[in-house]
This record gives sequence, C-alpha cells and structure tokens, in this order.
Amino acid sequence: MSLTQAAEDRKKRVLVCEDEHIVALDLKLLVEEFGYEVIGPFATVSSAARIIERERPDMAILDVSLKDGEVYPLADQLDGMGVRLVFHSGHVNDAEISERYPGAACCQKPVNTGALQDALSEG
Amino acid sequence: MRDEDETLRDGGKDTPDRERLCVVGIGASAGGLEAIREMLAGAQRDNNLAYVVVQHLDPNHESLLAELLARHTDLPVRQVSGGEKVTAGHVYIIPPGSGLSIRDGVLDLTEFRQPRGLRRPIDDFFESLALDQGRFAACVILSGTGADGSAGLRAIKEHGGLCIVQDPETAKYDGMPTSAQGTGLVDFVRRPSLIVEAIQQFYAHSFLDKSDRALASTVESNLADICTVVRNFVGHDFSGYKKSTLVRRVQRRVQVLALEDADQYLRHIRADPSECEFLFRDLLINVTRFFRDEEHFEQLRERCVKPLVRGSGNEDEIRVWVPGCSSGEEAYSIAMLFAEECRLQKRSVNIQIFATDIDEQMLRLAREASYPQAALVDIPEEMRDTYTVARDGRFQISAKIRDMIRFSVHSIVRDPPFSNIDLLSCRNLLIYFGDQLQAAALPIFQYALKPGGTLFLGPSETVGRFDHAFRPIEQGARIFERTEGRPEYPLHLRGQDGRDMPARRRPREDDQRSTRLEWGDGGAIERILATYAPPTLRVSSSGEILRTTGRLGKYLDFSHGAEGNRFAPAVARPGVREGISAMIRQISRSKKRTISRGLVAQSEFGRQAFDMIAEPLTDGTFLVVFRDTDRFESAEEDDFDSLEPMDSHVQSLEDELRSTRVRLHTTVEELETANEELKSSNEEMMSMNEELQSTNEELSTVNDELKGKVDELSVANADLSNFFASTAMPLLVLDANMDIRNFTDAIQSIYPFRSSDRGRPLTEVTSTLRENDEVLEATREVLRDGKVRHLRVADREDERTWSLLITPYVSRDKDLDGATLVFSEVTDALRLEEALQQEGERLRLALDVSLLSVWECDPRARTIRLDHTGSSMLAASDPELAIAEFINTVHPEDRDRVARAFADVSEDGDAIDITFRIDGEGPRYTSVQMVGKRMHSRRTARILGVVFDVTNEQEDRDIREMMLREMNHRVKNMFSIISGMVRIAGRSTSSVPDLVQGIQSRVNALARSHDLTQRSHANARQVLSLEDAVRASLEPYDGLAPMDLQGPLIEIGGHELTALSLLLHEWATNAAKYGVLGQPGGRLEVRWSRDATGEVRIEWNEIHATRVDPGEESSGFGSTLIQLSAAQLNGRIDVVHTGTERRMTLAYVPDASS
Repeated sequence: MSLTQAAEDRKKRVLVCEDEHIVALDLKLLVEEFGYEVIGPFATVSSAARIIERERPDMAILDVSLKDGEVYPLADQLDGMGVRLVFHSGHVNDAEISERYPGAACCQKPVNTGALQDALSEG
Repeated sequence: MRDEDETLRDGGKDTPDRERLCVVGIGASAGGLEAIREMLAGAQRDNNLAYVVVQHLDPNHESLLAELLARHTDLPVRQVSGGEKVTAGHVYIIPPGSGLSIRDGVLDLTEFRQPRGLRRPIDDFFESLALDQGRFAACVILSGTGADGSAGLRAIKEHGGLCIVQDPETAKYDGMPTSAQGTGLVDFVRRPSLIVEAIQQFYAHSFLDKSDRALASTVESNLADICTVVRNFVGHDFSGYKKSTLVRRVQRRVQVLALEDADQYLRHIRADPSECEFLFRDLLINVTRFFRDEEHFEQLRERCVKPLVRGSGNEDEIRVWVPGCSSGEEAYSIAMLFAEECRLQKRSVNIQIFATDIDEQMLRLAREASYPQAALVDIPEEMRDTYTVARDGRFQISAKIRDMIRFSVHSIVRDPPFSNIDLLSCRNLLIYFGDQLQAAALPIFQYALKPGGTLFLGPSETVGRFDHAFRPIEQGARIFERTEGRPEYPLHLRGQDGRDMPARRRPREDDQRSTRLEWGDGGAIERILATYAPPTLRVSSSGEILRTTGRLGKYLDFSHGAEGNRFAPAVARPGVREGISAMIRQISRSKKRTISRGLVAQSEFGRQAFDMIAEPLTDGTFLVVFRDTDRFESAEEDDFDSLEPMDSHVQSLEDELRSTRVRLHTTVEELETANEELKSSNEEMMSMNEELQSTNEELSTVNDELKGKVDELSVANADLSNFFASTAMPLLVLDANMDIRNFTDAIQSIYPFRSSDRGRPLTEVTSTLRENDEVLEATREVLRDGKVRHLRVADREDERTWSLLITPYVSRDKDLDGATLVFSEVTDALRLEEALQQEGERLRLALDVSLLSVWECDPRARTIRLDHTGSSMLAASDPELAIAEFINTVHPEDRDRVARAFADVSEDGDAIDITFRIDGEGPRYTSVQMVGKRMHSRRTARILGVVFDVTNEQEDRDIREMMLREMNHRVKNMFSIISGMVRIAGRSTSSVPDLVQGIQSRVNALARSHDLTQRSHANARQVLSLEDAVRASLEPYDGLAPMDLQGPLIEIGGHELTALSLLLHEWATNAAKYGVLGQPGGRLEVRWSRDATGEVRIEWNEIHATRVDPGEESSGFGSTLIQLSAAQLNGRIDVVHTGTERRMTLAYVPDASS
C-alpha cells in the first residue's frame, strides 16, 4: 500500500508536544508536509494528556522538557497505548531514552527534516 | 594370694597384651637418686612401660627429685599430686610426706599411719601395685638401707609380676637389695643400667604375638612331666595343685629364662637341678604376714582362743596345728594370741603348736624367727613389746613364744596327720590345691581335730561339700567347728607311702629338733636300740638330755619332776652324777672320745659297776654310753649301814652344794635382771638407731638432691658472670648499705670502677654523671620504699645521655637487700627524637597554613584518626572514630560512595582520592577532599592522608557547570528557533534577499537579547529588567523618533526574554517600516506596569502626527512571529487604532517558575 493511498484512506495522526512555539509551528508544518495529521502542538504535558484521553494518536513527537515539566509521564502513557514515540530535544540522552523506551526514536534539535521523516515513516 | 582375682582378670582382658600398660614400681632409699638416674637414662618413651618411683623422702623438705631426674631422662617426670592416671612413657615420683597407692591404674596419695621410723612406703605401694596390675606389675629395688620393699616384692611375685633387684655390689647402700635377694623370689639381679632392658625383654617375650596363649598350652601339655621332675628332685608332688596356678608359674619361669616353649623348659629342668629349686620356690610363693586379716584374728581370739584358755585345766595341753606355715608368721601370731590370753586370764596353760610346711628353707626362716623391722607394724601394739626383741635392724620373736612352737617338715597330703588338735589354722593353702587335693585335705583336717575343735581358714577358702563335718561358727572370718561324729582315717595315706616315694629329699639343714628322726624304719632299729644296745644318752653341751635309749633306770633317776628336769647331772644317780659332770666338761673342751672306767652307780635297788664313754657328735652334742662292766649287785641291809658315815659326808657335801646352788641361783637371777635391763637399753638404742637410720637415709637423699642443685647453681653462676663480662649494658648492683656488690664491665663509661672497688660505698666513688647526687638520692629512696625509680642522666660534657632504672634488689626471702642500677644509653634516641620534633613542627606549620588536616586509617581495626583541624572540619566528636561513625558525618547522598572508596582502599587499594560533602544543615554543605595513600610499614598496613576544605572550589565548579548547561540549552534552543524561523520564513517569502533581510534582522534581535542575558550573567547583581529588553529592541532605531519609555523595574526571566525580544523586535520593525519610526512627526510611547495579580502589561503606543490608516496591517511572517511569541508568553495582544494612535498592548502573567 502506497503512502498516498494510506493518506487518502486515513491520515496517520501525529501528536506534537513542543513548548517553543516557533519550533512547534515549524514541526507542525513539517509533519503536515510529510502527509500526516497533526494533533497539537501542545506546550504543556497537562494539555497533551487531556487530548489523548479523547484521541488516540498513531505517533508522537515529544520535546523532553515542556513548560510544566518533563514529558516522561505522558510518554509512559503513550507507550502504554502502543503509540510510537519520537523524542525531539536539545539535550536528549539517547542511551537513557532507548533504555526506557526500546522502540522509540530520537531526533536532535535543531530538527533534521530527513531524519524526522525517516523516524516517522518507520512507524 | 588371690587366685580367683587373677583368673577373672585373665578371662576378662580383651586388649592385646602388647598394648597393655606395664607399671614398674621402683623402690629406693639412701643412694637411690644415682641408681634411679642411671636406670631411667636408658628408658624410652615409646614402649608400654610406666615408672613409679617410691623413694624415702624427708617429709619436712621439699623434694627436688622430679626436677633432678627430668634432666637425665627423655621421659616426662612429674611428682604425683593424687588422681593421676598412669600413662606409658611417664615417670611418677612420690611426694614427700605421703604414701602412694594405685587402684585401677590411678595413683593416689595415702597418709602414713605409722611413726617415722616404721614407715614402709615401698612395701605399701608394691602391695597395691600387685593387686591392681597383677602380672603386669614389675618391681625394682634399688640402693637403700633397711628392708623396705622385701614384703612388697613377695606380693608382686605372688600375683605373677616381675621382681628385679639392683646388684648389691653396685649399690651405694646394699641393705634393701640384699634383704630383697634374701627372700629368694627375685627374678633378676642387675646393675641399674641394665634393669630397663631386662624388664623390656621379659615383657617383650610375654607379648610375642599369640605366644602367650601358645606357651600356656605347651606348658599345660608338659605339666605332668615337669611335676614328675620336681617330685623326683624335691620329693614333693604338685600334680594335685590347681592347674591354672601351676601353668602360670611355670610360664613365668619360661619367660624369665627366655626360653621358647615348655619343651625346652622340660629339657632345662631335667638338666639343671637348681632350676627345680627355683620352680619349687616359685610354686610355693605365698604372702603371709603377722595377723593377716587382723579382724579375723580378733574373731578367732574371741571365739576360740579365749574359751580354750579358760576351759583348760593346769595339766591340760592345748594342741594347735598350723599346716603350710611358710616363714612362720601365722604360727607366731596364733602363739601370741594364746600367750596374751593366758597373760590376761592369769592362767598357765601348756600350749603346743605344731607348725608344718614342706619347704625346709622356709622352716629355717621360721625357726630363726627374725623378721624385718617393717613387719613389726602388723603386730598389735600391745603385743609388740611383750613378744618381740629388737635385734640389729630386725626383730625377733621372744623365746617364750618360740618355745610354744615346734616346726617340722610335713606334708598334709603325704604324711600322717597330727591328732587330737584343738585348733587347726590353715590359711590360704587350700586355694592352691586342685579340687581333688582339697577333697583329700579336708577329711585329714576332720581326722586331726578333736570333736568341737576349731578350723580356721583363709578368707577365700571354704569347707566345700564337707559342711557336715564342719559347722561355721563365724562364717565371715572362716572359723568352723568340727562336728561330733566319727572321723574316718584318711585311707589314701595308707596306700600310697613307699610306692611312689623314690628318693627322699636330702636333708639340707640341721634338723635335730624335728620330730621326724630316723627312728621309724620298720621299728627294727628302735628295737635294737631299746633292747640290745647299751643305754645311751644324747646330751647338749650344757648337759641337757636330748634323747635317751635303752634302760637307764640304773643310772638315772626320773622319779621326781618327771619331764620337768632334763639335765643329766641333776637326774643322775649317785656315782654317775660326779662322773657325768666332769666328763661333759672335759669333752666340751677336748672334743675327743673319752672313757671313764670303773664307775659304780648307786640306787635304792643296788649297785652297778660300769664304764662311761662320751663321744662328741658333729652337731656339738654328745653321746653318753653306759657300759656295764659287772653284774648288778642287789642292795642289802648292811650295805645301808656300812655306807652311813660316808653318806653323812656326802650329805654335808651335798648340803654345801645346795647352798652354793642357791647362791649361784641368786647371782644368776641378779645377772639376768641386769641382763634384762641391758637388753631393754639395747632395745631402746636399737629403736633410736632405727630412727637415726631413717633420718640418715632421708638426709643422704637430701644431700644428693642438694648436690645436684649446687651443680646447677654453679652453671647458673658461670652464666651470670659471663653475662656480666660480655653485656654492653652498664649495670650496677648495690647492697643495702649502698656498697658496691657487682657491676658489668660496661659501667666503666659512667663509673671508673676497678675490681677492688667491690664493697666500697658508692658515695665514695666519682662518676662522670652530672646528676650524681640525684642518682644517690634516688637510690636511697628505692632502698627505703622498694619502689622502682626512673631517671634521665647525662655526663658532665652533656654528650651522652642515659635512661637510668633503679630497681629494688629482692632477696629470696622477699627482703629488700639492695638496689640494681641499669643504665640504657639514649643519646642517639634523644637526638633522633629532637630531629623528629623539629621536622614535626615544620610539618605542622605547613599544615596549619594550608588548612590541611592529617588523617590516618587503620584498615584492620576499621578506625580513622583525625587531627584537630580534621575533627572540626568533619564536625566529629572524637579524634578517633570507627569508619562507620565517620561515614555518618558524610552527606547522606555521598555516603555510599565514601564507604565504597574506604572499603576498596582497606582491602587492597593503594590510594584514595575522594571529594564529598559533610552532612549538616543545608542548603550550603561543606565539601572536603580526602587524599590518602597506603603506608607499608613492618608493623601494620595503614592509610595516611590529608583532608582539606574544597567547599568554595566545589561551589564554583557547580555554578560553572550549571551555567554551561544553561548556556548549552539556550544555544541549542536558539538554533532551533532560528532553524524554525528560517523554514517558516522560507514558506512565506518569495525573494531570497527579503528572506535574508528578514532572517538577519531577527537573528540580530535574538543576538541582542542574548547580550542582555550575558550582561546579567557577567554581573550577578544586575537583574534582567523589562526596560532593558525594550531598549534593546529599539536600539537600531535610536533617534528616528522621540521615544518615551517608562515603567517600574520589572524583572524578567531568561526564558521569557527570547519571546519578548522577538515580539518587541517585530513591533519595532513594524514601527520602522510602517509606523512612527519610519515617518517624521510621530513619537513612540512605551509604558509597562504590573498589577496586583502579577500580570504584566506593556503598552506600545505609536502616536503619529497624522491620521493613519489601520488597514495596512501586515499578516506575513512578522505577525506570525508576534502571535507565536505572545503564545509563548502565554499572553494576549490587543491592537487599538484611534485616529493618530496605534496602540498595542501585551498582557501576560510571568511564569511562576521564573
């Protein structure tokens, strides 16, 4: 099944959490360019957590530290739901993340569009 | 004599003999030390012999015997204190003042019951040893005076043990060895150095494999032959004796001779008649003593002796038979009982005691009645003085008692028995007999005893099935009464004599008093003598008639006094009397056959002429033969007449003789009294001599010991003088008057002594010491109070220093008898100490300046020691802490790390370097760094290091790290923002120059805001204010229009700054492009404030000179940025156009976290 067909059937939904609004907007635009539907972006863990009670994203791009704290509780919840996680941060510790979330991908800031696209398409 | 015991023991032993312990008892007295030493020098540890030494010791003198012996033997030597289990390869020594006994292999101390002169510890111990160890006991008797040990030896032998005696020629004092040898029971006589070897050989032979049993069986099969040989030589048949006893005793002989089996022995005994004697003696071994089983004798006295004495008339004779009397003690005991009873009841009774045995040698001893002094204690005290006489270290039974007893060779089973016996005492003889022989002996006893007579047996003997013949009177004491009823003469005696009685044993000793003279051969000789031979007398040298034969009525007058007067001159008839006295006197002198012719004997019946011939016999007695020379002339009346005058002459002579006799008698009595007195004095002297002798023995033992001690002392003394000469330590010994007693050569450096200075007062001697007076004073104090003093003294040039120790000199009696001054030179030590001190001070100074603290950790004790600085740094209560306590002073988060580091370095690490915080009240914690190294010294491994405060450095480092992190984060963020901006701008801008322009200005804005943060960081006191942000954003447009910027100081957070700067930059750019900054006449008013809720408001008011059109709002990238920035700040933006004004308001609540 080709990507276009998948997009036509139902666009995969990507939850974006990023507290730097410029970066968030940039991410949103990029992800939409890649052909996904964006939920968010959210600057806080709490706002994102509220959303996923109603909507189940297919994937999530998460900045590690958000305005109201670290993203891990949310990540745990998403991981528990089977959502693929892509961590996006300036000071993310790859080893720590891959130990905690073995299936998750990591993208360093500033964003490398190719890497991000690969990370998302692998899901 | 405990045959049953032995049998039991033999049956019950399970351990092989080769491992069986053999206890060797060693008895010694004067001169014994040397002999024991020589004997034990050859003893080895690794065999199964243990030695127990019983030496006569002075009870008031501590014995050095154990100490002295220990040097000459490999064996461990110890003085017995009671309760020791005897172990092979050890030597046990009797302590002074106690006796020794053994029971179940355990030694025990006993108290002496006898006074000093009469003790015989060797006998006592040997007797208990014999009972306890049986044939595994050996006794050795060494040098000493007296006879202690001889009785004990008999007991050892009786129980099958081994008896060895020191060769009297090698003994310093040969009394004890000779006495022991005199018993005839000794197995070996050896010099001391060969004794141990003899014992080992004896037991080695007995333990060879199973040879013990095998030997016993060969002995058993040869027993009959051996008995035959003995019977042929000695004339006594032992085949009826108890087999087990016989086998054992023969077996012993085989062992002693080191033969292989009984066949060899049989050949040996056939070839060597003396061996027969040995075996005979061995077979007859028995232990006897006066009043053996004293209480039984007491019963006998009550139940038998007393009634017998009381019930007898003056003319009656009491007849007693003691068969198997051996050396006579039993017979004498009974005689004493009777004599004592007679004395108490004041009766004079005729008592005849027949004591018989088959061993002539024993009988000879019995007749001599001389016993070792030691046996005296067995006799009840009240009888001792009355019935014994001390003689030459021994004692003899008094003549009164001896006269009551007739000893003779007699075999119960072979010879006809005595008859009409009142008391038959046969103790410890039946136990040697086999059943058959016992069954034969008892009817003989029954025959011998009168009805109602008493039988007295040994404690383990019974009458067996003859209880019809003997009724027990006192079962416990084995006293029986012979019942009425006709005894049968023992038939076997009649049939046996002559048939198997070959060679009668040859008489060995004078036996003239024996009843068994050669009268009895069929009666022929007797008949000749009585009827056809001339009447003959046998008289002793004193004229006592020993024997008569023929019809003597013509020559002797027996009419008055009957048996009472047996002296030949006294009973001779007139005519014979004169001749016989003269003749006996003459022949006593000449010892030649003498004849006296032409004598006439006168009697009331008539006259007889005769010759009298006297002939000396070899034993000192004389035969007097009367030969008739004429017919007997009957007496006639006129003869009487004619003889009258002569008679009166004779009468007067006889009267005179009688009065002379009376005088003589008186004189004799007086002499006897004097003699008695002398005798008692002699006895006293004897007993005194005894005591002196035992004291002498003890003294010579003490002397030997002292000699050994003196030898040691001279060695010790030589050691000491060598020490004094060679030691490098200055030492001075003073006596109580502070006179010089001794000194070492090394003292010369302090006191210039010469050897002649010994005895001079120390005060007179010059010394090199500066503190000489103090030394003298301290010495006086030590002499006064006996307490040790320490001083430090130096010589006058102050070049050398000594540490002086003055100790009291304590004599053996614990008296203060001087002082000892010991100088130890400490010059070098002092210099070293000084140098160290200086070094230490320098180090301390360095530490103090650098605020370093030194710590030391002992990894084994798990403690850590801190100096003062360290203690206060760690807020430790104690300079020395356990590591665990020390860990507790560390900040909880760092404890694990510190503990691990210490565990590592304690175990094997070489160094430690760790920085940690000290626990305390936060938030600021003291940080310290601990650096240490393991020091390897000889004594112990320890870890030594320093600790210093690094709080400031640590804080600086923390801040730096925090800043770096922050900066890194911010830069990354900035890059992200820029990267995002570029992409967003790229989407909305068509021309590259525009894009570049737009991006560049915004990057500049970001750079300016970054400058702001940088400034605030450079100067920590300056806060980042809102005004700064506003001014920075307007900086590029300075001077383009009047600007009015007003508001209070509002601090802004770093994370707000970026958004705020971008937003203000957009507003300023817009104002420059489209607003008041681009057009003349306008002005800009910026106001900021904060209300009570904390909300910050920024009003951006562009006031134009002319009216402006509000429609030209840009909705491009710039407005996106404004929206995003406002969202970032969580704020809202209001834009109001009023004619000439364009007012934008940003309201936001600063994040609480900032």
